[in-house]
Amino acid sequence: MTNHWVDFKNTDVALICGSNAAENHPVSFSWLQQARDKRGAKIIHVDPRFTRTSARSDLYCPIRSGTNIAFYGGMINYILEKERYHREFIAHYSNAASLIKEGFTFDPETGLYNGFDEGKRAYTDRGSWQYERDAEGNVRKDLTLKHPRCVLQLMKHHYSRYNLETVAQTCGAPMDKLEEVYELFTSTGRPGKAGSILYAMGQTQFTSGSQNVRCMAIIQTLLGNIGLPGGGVNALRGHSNVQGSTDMACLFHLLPGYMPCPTTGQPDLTAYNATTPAAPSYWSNRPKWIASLLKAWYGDEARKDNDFRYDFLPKAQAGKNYSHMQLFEQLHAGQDLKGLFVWGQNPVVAGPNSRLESKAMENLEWLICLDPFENETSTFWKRPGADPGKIDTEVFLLPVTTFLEKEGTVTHSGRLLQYRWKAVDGPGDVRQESFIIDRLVKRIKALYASSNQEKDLPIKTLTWNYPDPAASQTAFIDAVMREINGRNLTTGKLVPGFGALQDDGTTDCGNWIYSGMYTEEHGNRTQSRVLDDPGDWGAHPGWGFAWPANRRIIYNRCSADPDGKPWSEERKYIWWDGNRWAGYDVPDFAPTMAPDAPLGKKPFIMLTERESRLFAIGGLNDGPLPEHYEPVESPTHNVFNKRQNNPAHYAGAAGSKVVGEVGRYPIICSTWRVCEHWHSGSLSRNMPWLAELMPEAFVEMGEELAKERGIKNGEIIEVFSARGQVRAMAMVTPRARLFQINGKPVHQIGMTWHFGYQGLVTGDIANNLTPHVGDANTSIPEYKAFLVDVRKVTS
Amino acid sequence: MTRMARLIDITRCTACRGCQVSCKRWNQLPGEIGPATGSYQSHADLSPGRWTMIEFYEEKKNTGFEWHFRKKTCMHCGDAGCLKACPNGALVREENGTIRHIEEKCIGCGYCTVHCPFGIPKIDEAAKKMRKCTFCYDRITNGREPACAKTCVPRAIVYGTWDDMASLADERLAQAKKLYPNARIYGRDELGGLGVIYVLPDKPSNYGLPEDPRLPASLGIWKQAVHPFGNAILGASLAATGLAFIISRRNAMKLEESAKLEEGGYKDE
Repeated sequence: MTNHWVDFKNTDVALICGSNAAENHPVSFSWLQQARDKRGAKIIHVDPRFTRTSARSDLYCPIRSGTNIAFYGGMINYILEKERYHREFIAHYSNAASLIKEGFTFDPETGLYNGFDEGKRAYTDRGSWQYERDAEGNVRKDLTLKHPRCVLQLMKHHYSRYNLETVAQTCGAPMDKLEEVYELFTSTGRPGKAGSILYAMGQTQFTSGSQNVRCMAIIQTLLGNIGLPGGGVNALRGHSNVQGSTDMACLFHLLPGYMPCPTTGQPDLTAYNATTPAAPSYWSNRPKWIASLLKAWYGDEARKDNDFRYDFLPKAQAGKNYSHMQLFEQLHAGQDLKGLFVWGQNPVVAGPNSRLESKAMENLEWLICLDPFENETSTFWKRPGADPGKIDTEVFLLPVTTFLEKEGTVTHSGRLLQYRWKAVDGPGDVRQESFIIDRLVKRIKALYASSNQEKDLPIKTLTWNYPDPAASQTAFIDAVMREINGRNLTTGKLVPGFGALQDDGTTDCGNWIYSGMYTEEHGNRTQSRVLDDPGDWGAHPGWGFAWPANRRIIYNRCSADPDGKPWSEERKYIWWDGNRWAGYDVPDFAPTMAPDAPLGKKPFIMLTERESRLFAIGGLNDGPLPEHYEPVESPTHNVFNKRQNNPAHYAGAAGSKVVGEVGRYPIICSTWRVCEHWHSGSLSRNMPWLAELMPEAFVEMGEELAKERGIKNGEIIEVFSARGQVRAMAMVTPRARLFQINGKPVHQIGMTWHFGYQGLVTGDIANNLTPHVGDANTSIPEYKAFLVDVRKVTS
Repeated sequence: MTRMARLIDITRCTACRGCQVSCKRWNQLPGEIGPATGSYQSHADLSPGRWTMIEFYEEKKNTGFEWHFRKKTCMHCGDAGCLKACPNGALVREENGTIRHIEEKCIGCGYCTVHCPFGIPKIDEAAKKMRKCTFCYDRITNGREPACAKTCVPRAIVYGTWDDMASLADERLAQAKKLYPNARIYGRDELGGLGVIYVLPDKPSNYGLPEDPRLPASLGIWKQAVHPFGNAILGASLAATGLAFIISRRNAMKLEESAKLEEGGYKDE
């Protein structure tokens, strides 16, 4: 999130799109209700299905799954046509006025930007997706916003196709509701007003998921809703510590703190550092952060003269994808992978095209699962239809503690690190994961201790000097947190923040964005519980620690105008007091850089141009401006351009890309969650008080479809796609609907993906249905829109 | 002590069912995994081991589709049918408004179940005891709010003095009317003021509540008549008047039949 949970109380209009906030993030509604009570705020819900969130919203607008960009494109067009944008904000704080090079084009006839290589299914030439520069290298701008090649005009042209009528037809949205949503949300484009967008997997789990998120950033920039209380682009993350897991780089393409994972194209530190964004981007400090990270990992052996042993880091093959789907496709093909560690996951239930992925696991020599329960993944060998006698995988299940039985920090969606203390001991011999990691590392290091081989040096050198967690888990975590925060190795003191990190080997730091969480001055700030709230904006700076630098709202320089005065007294948050930036939060700006300094009016400090990118120079893999493409499985044709699917989407390896046609599978299906169950259900389906609330897998379907197929509420039906089929109870409800899509009636149904064959309550795995295709940038699977058909079960 | 109450504002409830779980957790009631009901609702009704639950109501209106969630729980009525009907003094009114169940005195006769206008009390057949929401008597007499109110994220359940909840209901109603013009308060005037004051989006019968809950005028008259003789005598007199028979036939009882009983008659006379 750019903002945070408590900040929802400050909004005037909350747009919940691609999220079922009331059910899956119930706490959000505590703050949204406050916004309603105290500010008369309105809540908008845009979703294919009428959920408990819709029930508690002021305005509900249905759209078919997979049409977010059409919906947002329509809003962008509405903002630009009706001039609802915050003119001064975009002129100064975004690249709206910047000119883009000649040669940049988008052709609706092909549905492509310039530079696409059809053979490689990639934009290989993005040279013109860049700013036009003058002889001195400065970006050419037209502050009148009239030049045909300035970003604002390019956008005006690009989104002119996204008129209300076309959008309504593609989304299947009632036109009046759509217009009402646009009108209400864009009313926050005025100084003094703020609108917040809340989203979740209903934005990301598509072949154009990244571009959906780009749309939100564009809209919030246009409306001036960035960097101020009650605004922002707010990802409601699907797990209490998912933010922490990405911060700490539990992702294939990153090192901690969002530094890129080194590839074979960067054989030494000089080559790696050459990819550092140029100053004045704050990222230009990256060489300090990587040097400090390597010092944390390799200790005294990491020195400036040996590249801090950058050579020890494993390198990804340049251009190769190591994402979830790719791994399972490789496994399915019997390549490379011998063993698998699975913790904090239950891929047999949670992975796309589950039948393919569980079949793939049969090729494993060994599988180690860490879970409080024996879930579907650790029992994949006895799943329905499998022949255990033919599966040679050796499976180990290490029982681990649940969240109440361990201690450490979690980082929630608002980037807030909070320490949690253990409530109770776990039963029997369960262990906290960090204990298991500790023992694993120690045993591996022991195995390599006598090796003289060069290739084993990274393991031998890795520093591991923490107190024994068996003696004190608290002491172990304390030591790890100190290392993550970073230390001045000359004085031995904790560094006060990432600003103190160096690239000469005099500091270490396990994750630069977490630096400042544990300091000599404040101690372990994740354990701090001070409730003070200066300004009454809910920032609570003494409660826990929010990265970066304990900032509660990022880009908060934007809450003041270019001269440093608050845009409005009602939303006074950060301002220039004549000598320094003052306010109710840690300024996201150099503390004493005056507004009249050369960079004093440029709030987006992580980017070289320090402006919000309405136009993403260099682009994402699928273009610099979001464009609508149909999901890979869609009941209709793309009316915005003549390319049906995202040209650069992750298409999967041969054999796994099984795509159903609308003639055979005429119904749109989506997978979703409910409040009562937790992800793959391995916890909640083993918890009687939760299991009783939702005891069976179900399919939500509209009354029209049920009537058409002669299906009664409560009957068991079969849903089938090109990948597989599931049986579940039909829940016939007016909350699921029949859409009119480009003039044709199309049903949409959906299932939760919480069920599997283990636990107190069981049900078929919804992911038997989902396709093995994904987003063009992140490879996240397209769980949210695919085609199926349904039938009554007669036998 | 002053009378306490819960305000339950249906127009705010998100049906997360934290209250349902929290109730079971505090009271250590077992999970009751049954077949799905065909909707999001977990079970058809309350049970001896389920003292609160959320009922789900899909409403198609001219103004559009609505989905509402009513927390069903003991109302701790000002004029409590269960208490009047109980032949053995197993239900008492505490000063804080709780209709408290005295386990040792309960004989599981089920007389309370047929005289509750809201269908709340349930009989645990094995233990031969009635079970219902305790208003978290153990919590509220120790300065804590009921478990359900404590856990309620959108503050749809609020606990406080009856007077405060009655006036908070007005504030909430004003807010609710913006979205639901037919919104109304329920429980402030009914049955001597209920210990649960609802803010409803529309008329009570839309959410499984009687529009005008009343107790039969005759209820409790016979009990009042014998009461001056004290409980020991009451027990003896009840035995003499065939209460054992009533218990054994409870499952077969209908409302009309019990009305007859109130008048001192017998089922098979």
